[in-house]
Amino acid sequence: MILARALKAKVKNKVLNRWALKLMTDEALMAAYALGNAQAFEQLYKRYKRGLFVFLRRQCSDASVCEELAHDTWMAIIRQSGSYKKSAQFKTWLFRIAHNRLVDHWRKYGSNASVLFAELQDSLSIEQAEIDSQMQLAELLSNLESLSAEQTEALLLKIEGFSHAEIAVITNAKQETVKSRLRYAAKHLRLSIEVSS
Amino acid sequence: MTETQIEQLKKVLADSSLPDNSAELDDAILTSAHQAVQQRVKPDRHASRVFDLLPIAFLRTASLAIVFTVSVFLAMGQLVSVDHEAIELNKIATLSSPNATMNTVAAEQTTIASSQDRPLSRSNIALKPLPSGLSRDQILLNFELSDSEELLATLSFEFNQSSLDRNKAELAMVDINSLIQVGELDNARKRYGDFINRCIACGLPETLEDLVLAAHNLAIKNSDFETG
Repeated sequence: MILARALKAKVKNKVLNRWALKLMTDEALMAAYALGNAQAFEQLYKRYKRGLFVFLRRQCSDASVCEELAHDTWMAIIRQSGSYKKSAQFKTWLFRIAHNRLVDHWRKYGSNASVLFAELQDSLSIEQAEIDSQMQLAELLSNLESLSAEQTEALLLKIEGFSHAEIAVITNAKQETVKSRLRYAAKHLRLSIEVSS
Repeated sequence: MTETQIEQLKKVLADSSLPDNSAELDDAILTSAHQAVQQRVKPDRHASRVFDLLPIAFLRTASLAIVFTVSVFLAMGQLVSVDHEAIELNKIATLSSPNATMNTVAAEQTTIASSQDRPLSRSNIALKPLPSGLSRDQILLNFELSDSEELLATLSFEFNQSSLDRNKAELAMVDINSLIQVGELDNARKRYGDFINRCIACGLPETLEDLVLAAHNLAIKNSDFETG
C-alpha cells in the first residue's frame, strides 16, 4: 500500500517535472542542467536538435559530416555548460558554436549549399501552385545558388528567426556587415528575377 | 529582401522533407550529457547516500544532544561570568569597607584581640534548657567553667569593648571560677549578677548556670571540631 502510494507520488512528480521543463525558458533549462538536471538538457536537445541539424545540413553536402558537426556542437554545449552565463541567449550561443564548426569545415572542404537548393527545388515543385505567383518565388529561389556561403548562412539564420544583432553575434561579424550581406542577397535576387522575367 | 519574401522562404523550408539526424547521434549526445552530470554531482550524491543511510531517529537524537550540550555550555559560561562578577564586587567591597573583612585563619588561632574585630550576635551563645534531674548547684559543680580567656573569646561582645571592660570580664570570670571551685556557689552567682549588671552590653546569659552550660556545650563543639 505504502509502496503503491510512493510509486504514485513518484510518477506524479515525474509528470509535473516534465510539464515544468516544457514551460521553462532555454536559459533556465541550461542553468538547471548546469546544476545537474539531465532532463533539462534532454528538453533543450528536443527543442533544437532538428533546427540545428537542418541548419548544418543545408550548408554541407555530406550527411555524415553534418552529423559530426552537430555532435561536436552539442558536445561543446555539454562541456561548457558549467561556464554558461544566463544573460546570453541559449539559441544564439548554440548557433554560434555551430557556425564556428561550420567555418572550420568550410576551410577544409569548401562551402556547399547544394542540399538547400535541392530541397527548395523539391518543395517548390510540389507547392508552387499554393505560393503567391506575384512573389515569383521560384525564380528567387533558383538564383540563391549564386549567393556566397556567408550570404546564404545569413539568410538561413534570418529565416530561423534571428535578428540582425543576433546573426552578427552568431557569425562573429558586425551588425552592418550582416545587413549588407542580406541587402546584397536581396538585390542580387531581385536583379536575377528581373533578368529572368 | 522583404519580410514577405522571408516569410515565404520560411514556409517552404518549414515543410522541408529533409531527414532528421540519426538515432545513434541522439543516443551518443544524451549519454554524454548524462555522464557529464554524473561526474559533476558525484561528490554530492555520495554525501546524500551517507545521509540516507542514517535513520531519522538517530539524526533527531543527535541534533537534540548537540542543542542540549550547547545550552549546558552556555549556562556554565553564564555561571562563570556571575562568579567573576561576584569576585569583582567582593574586591570593591573590601576596598570600600576594610572592617568587614573576616580573617578566618586568625579566628582559628583564637586570640581576644582578633575576636574583638568581629562582632558576634547574642544568638552565638548556645543556650539550652537546664538538664532535668540536675539541680542548679549540681550544674555548677559538675560542669566546670572553662578557661575564662577562651570563654570570653567565644561569647559575644556586641559593642565596642574597651580593654578595661575586657580586663573586668576576665577578673570576674576568674573570681567566679574560684568561688565555684571552693563551693561558694551563691557567692559565685552574686558575683556573676554584679558583673552582668555592670556590663549589660556584653550580652551574657542571665544566670550563671546558663553560662556554665553554654561554655560546656562550646567546649564539646570545639573538641568535636578538633577531632574532626
